[in-house]
Amino acid sequence: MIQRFLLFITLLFSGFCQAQESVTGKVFSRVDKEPLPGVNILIKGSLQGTVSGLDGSFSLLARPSDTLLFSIVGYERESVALNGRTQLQVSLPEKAAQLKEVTVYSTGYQQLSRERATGSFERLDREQLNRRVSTGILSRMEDISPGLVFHREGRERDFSIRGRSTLSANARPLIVVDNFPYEGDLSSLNPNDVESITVLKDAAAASIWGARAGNGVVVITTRKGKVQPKPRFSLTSHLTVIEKPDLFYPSRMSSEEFLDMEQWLFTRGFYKSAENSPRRTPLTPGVELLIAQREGKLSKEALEEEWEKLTRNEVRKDFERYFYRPALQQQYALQLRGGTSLYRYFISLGLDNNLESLQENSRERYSLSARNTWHVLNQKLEISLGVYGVQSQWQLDNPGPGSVRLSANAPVYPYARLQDGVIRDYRKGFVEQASNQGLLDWHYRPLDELSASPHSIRATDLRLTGGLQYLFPGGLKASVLSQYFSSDKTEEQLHPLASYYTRDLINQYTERGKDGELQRHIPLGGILDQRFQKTISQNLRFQLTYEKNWKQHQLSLLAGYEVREQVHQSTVQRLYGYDPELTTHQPVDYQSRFPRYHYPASKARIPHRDGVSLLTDRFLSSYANASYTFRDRYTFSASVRKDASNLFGVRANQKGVPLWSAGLAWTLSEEAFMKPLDLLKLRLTYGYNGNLDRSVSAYTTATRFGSNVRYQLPYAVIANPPNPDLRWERVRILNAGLDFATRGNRLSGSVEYFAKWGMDLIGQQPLPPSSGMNHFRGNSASTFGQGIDLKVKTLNLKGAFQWQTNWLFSWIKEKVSRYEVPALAKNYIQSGATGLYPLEGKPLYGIYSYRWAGLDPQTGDPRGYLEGQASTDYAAVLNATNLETMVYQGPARPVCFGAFRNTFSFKGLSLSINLTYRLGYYFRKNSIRYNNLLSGNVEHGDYRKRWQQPGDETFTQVPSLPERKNTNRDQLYLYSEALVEKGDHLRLQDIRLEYQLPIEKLPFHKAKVYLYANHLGILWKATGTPLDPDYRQTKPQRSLSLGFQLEF
Amino acid sequence: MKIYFPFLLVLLVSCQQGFLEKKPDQSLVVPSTLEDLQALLDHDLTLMNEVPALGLIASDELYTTQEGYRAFIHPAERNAYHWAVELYEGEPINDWDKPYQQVFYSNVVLEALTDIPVTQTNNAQWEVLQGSALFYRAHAFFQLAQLFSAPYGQDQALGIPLRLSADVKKAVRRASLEDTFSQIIQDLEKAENLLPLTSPYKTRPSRLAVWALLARVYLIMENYSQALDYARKFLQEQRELLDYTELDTSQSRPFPSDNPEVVFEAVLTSYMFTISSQVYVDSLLYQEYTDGDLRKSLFFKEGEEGYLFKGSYTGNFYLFGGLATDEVFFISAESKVRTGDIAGALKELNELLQSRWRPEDFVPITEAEPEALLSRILEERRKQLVFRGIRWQDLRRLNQDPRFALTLERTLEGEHYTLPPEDPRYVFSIPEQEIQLSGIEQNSRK
Repeated sequence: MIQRFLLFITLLFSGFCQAQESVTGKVFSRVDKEPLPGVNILIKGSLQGTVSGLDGSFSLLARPSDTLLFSIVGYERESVALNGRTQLQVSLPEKAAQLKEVTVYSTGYQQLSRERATGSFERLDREQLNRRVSTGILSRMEDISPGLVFHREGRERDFSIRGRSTLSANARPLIVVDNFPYEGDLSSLNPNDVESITVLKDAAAASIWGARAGNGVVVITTRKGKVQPKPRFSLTSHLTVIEKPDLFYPSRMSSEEFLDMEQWLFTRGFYKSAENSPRRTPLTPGVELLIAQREGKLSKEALEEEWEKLTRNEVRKDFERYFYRPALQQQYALQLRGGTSLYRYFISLGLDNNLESLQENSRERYSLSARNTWHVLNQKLEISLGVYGVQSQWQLDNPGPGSVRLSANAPVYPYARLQDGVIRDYRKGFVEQASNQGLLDWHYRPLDELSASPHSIRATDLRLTGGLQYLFPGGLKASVLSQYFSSDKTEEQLHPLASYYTRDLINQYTERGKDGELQRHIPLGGILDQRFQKTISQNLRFQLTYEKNWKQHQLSLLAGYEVREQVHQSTVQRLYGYDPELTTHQPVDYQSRFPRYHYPASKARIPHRDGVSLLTDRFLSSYANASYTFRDRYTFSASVRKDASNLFGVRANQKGVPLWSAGLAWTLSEEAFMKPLDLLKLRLTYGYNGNLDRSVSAYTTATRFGSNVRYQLPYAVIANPPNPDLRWERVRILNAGLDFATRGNRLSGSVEYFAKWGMDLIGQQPLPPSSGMNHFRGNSASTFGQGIDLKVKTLNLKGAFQWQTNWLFSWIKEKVSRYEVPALAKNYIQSGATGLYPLEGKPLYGIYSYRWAGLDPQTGDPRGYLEGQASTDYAAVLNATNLETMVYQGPARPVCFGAFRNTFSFKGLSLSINLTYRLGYYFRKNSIRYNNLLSGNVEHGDYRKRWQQPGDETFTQVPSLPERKNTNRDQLYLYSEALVEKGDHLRLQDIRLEYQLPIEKLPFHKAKVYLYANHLGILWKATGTPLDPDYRQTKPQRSLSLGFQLEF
Repeated sequence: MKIYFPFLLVLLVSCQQGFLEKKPDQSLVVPSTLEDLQALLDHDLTLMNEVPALGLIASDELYTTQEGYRAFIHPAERNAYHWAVELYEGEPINDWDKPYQQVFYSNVVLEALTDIPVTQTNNAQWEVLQGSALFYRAHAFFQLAQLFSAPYGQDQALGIPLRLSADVKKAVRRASLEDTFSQIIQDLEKAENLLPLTSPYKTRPSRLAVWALLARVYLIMENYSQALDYARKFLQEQRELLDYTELDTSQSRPFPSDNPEVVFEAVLTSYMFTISSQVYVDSLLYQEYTDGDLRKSLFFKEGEEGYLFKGSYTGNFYLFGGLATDEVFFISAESKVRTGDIAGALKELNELLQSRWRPEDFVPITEAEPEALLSRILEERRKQLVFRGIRWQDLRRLNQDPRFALTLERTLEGEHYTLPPEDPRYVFSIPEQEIQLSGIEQNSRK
């Protein structure tokens, strides 16, 4: 105190007697030592001052005792006492640098510091997101965010946050990009433009998104400008090589086994009906040989010789050779970033060029984004403008091996040789004969089809964002934000006259007139299929925020109103007789039914593909959010939102039961008794999120039919009764979390417990018949789920050699707690894993089976249970199996999952190894379907392991070859307990090796190179089958990437 | 700025009138045009023009053999046949569900109509649709009341749930029987003024159909003067009868599908018993058709162990359950004799019978004694309206009059069953699903 007093006196005194002198100096950024232009410099206690120049230099007149105040957006204020100096070097610490330990969450409505958050947020920064190398952004979130899991069976990019809280509604988390829901194709986002991703997991975090928050929210924030003296360029690029897919991964019968089967079927007269079929049913070369020999056209020796040749063919080898190549992915991004206190900008160019595994197929993506921010009116008004344009082009000419078939219902025979042409759709003799009779060449040569039909998709996305934000004195801020998004997608496939598709279709609709003249009902020429899709969404948001900090209080309030419309239009059309040179086409008769050349008795109309659809979603929403912190220790937050939409019913819109949440946090580490810990914080939240189901409508909907029984009048059947009560599904979430960090962050992380109650879920509800409907799809079902998310980071070694471990663990247990109309046992057993059939008390995705009584030791027949006894009365066993007697084996989705990542670094070198695991779930193996085999189709390789003689039942579960087709026998075996396996496994997911170049000797600000290897393989699995439990159809392809990142 | 901000919001919302009313998917058929609504009502013989059939299996018009009985599929037809107390064994029944679906469709149409403004050009169609929906609803309520409520006239009797809105979630309790009938009459009286005299398709309601149904409703209510009133209105406009002499008795389906007597085409719900070749007409009833009566060979053919019914007015295998001119003749005749008009009653009766007989054998009825004439009319009525489901309604009505009360009897697998007049088993129980889900009061059949 005395010192201060003395200082004050000195200053006062010196002020009188000292004259002003010229003071010059330079302002730098503390971190990168770059000069800072545009810094406000003010003499403390006066209005005099200046602004630093482009090189950071400044000069002004001041008394030697003056104190200078330096301020600029993005940096900490600094005050420097001259103490008589006339030359100054001032370095300002960056705000971000100072807040290094402070994580900022973005909810899409506000920025929230981690200290004041009560909810469950997960922030993934640029470094974390860039660890994995990929074309798209979403897959980069895998294995670094607890609770988030990608489902590998089914649709590839499906992922969920903390399980599933709906039955039939949209189960996908809401994706928000720069404040607004993103409706475009996520693969068109350039990952290099992404600054951070915040995952909103609980009610307090997500309920601000109201009726769309039920599945969790992923908020993607793109990069923006930054105040720095010099514009900074960065160039990143990587090259990825992906191995060819392994076509021998799914088990299948060999060519020899299949040929033996054909011979067996032939001796039993199986092919007789096909031989005599008026439909010209195709027969494989093996069967044709047998016919030729039977008819005396081929000697026994010649047959054996030909037969031997066929056994040596293997079509999968041909596919690997002619259809596939190692895929190659290239990505380049050039970015420019800079700004002053008045204007900041970020400009990014991206180019992706992928050569896909399938030859001829490729993907290109060009992206351009520019984000500008101006601070005007004394920094009170912020104007922002963003433009994002992406152009993607897919080339999909190669239709893949699946396109090579014997017929629409039968796969290709395993001994086909692609270069020789493949029998398809019709018998060989017929094809040759027809081609000689003036029809178009009817042969099918798959290798010619590889690039015969140019197939492309071109998509153009445009996103424009604009915002105005005005800061009133006292902490009130008003903002208007808007976004316009449009996506145009054109898919085009031309089947030229030379393609098999077109030749075949024209030939089918060729008729031989009475005079022998050929009449073609489909004109000669190409067939052009086109699909145009256009999505336009518009958003407008008004928002008021108020922030005030006083004494030990921090208050933050937010309220807003939002309008949103999204229109999705699509048009499909087909042009016949198309000439790409002239872009002309010719009309066809869609009405008449024509006899088809290969089967004149069956008349058909020319395929008609035209259609139009128009979908409109509209929302009006209002929301508010408040948070209050006392003494940096106690935080209370609350959020409320009300949505109205044209998808909801009148009453839901009017009544408007709002979705809300509330949360509490207590930072114990601020308390005196907890000082030894860097961070210890308890969080508790509770509230409701919503979800939408588009499969139901608030309106009465009907299906129209052509003609009624009595007078052939058009009539309509009501499909969906009116539902004015229709409302969003709700998910009630309780979340309790603990964040911790020891001194120096040796051990840090968080653990969270959550419980989720899915309420008012759309489900089947029985109605009293007097209502006129038996069932009703409405808000009637419920689910319950609970789980734990754990995230731990340990710094095992510090110093020159560093070793860090990140451990993610998630446990989730879910069940359908109310569903009023159970399905049949058969539905659960055959489709329980698809999630289509909810059953009370069980998880939505479950594996159910018929009880398995093993193989009959005498016959090798599969056996089930009938009234407690082993039985081969298949129809009775299947019928008698009900909800009580079917076997529930367990969930089809992992109950525990996570990742274990170790990072070692030494100087600029770092190595990171990621292990992932999934536990507690089951899957059903595929096996042989004898019905298919006895229909002459190649089948599963379990054929080799089938029961063949008494005693085999001791080592195999694969039933014997039956005498004749028996669907129920197949069903019992394929859906029995015998084929269910545990899915638990540990996987070496990926390895990344990175080297940060020492920049001292280089003209760069930052430079690094890296090597990344993905999908490295399974280390341990519970099942003894060779299958990867998560990739049972196709093995994940290993990949290797090489990349660099430069900043200058 | 602060002041303008809320103002902007208000402006925004007020511009958005109808913003939330946009159809989410343009291809949804949200029944909203008159054509859509007509299409809903034209869901004909499998919904809107279907009437319950369980009354027929429980009536004294038919019998089956042991074998025939065992072939019955639905528990309801087995149990109703011998008047068991438990009827459905937990299965749903169309006899309850279908009429209520008709009510639902009608209500959907009635509610949708209120959203379609009436204009000069659509006025006629709009009214026809409203009239049609009201007719279908009343018709369904009437059919339900005949199965699931006590016969009209019992004090304090319960009617049926009167669903008057399309809201499927709305809970509706059973109305009184009195209210049920007033609702039926009210709907029909409204429909009378909206519908054209005849309709282009006989599956669609017309004013003639309204009158025929009102005549039947009043007959059931034993209000003979009103019944006569509507029968008279009907017969003033439509007296055309089918001349049975012109029909080919050897045909397996002798009646033409464009039968001029039919004014509203409807079919009985199909059960095994409606198509079984082992369900025969009651042998005593068959004996009532004397030689010279063309109906004997037009209505029946010889089966393995009895006579099978083949005389459906639909002209096909569906049993006719609609409204036809012959029934109105009988309502008129019965009402006339009950209100003292003997001559009038005889005239109606003879005009009808003349067209049913070979001309050389026809002897006009001259019975002048009211009681005897009434009996004769009822007897002829039973013979004409056979296998239409009407007999059950007549049994319930006539049992209340000791002169006509009957005890029905059946023998099956050595067991003897009886159904005395005014037995509680004349009222069908309400299906279990309905009771469980809506909690309405069940009928006691004990």
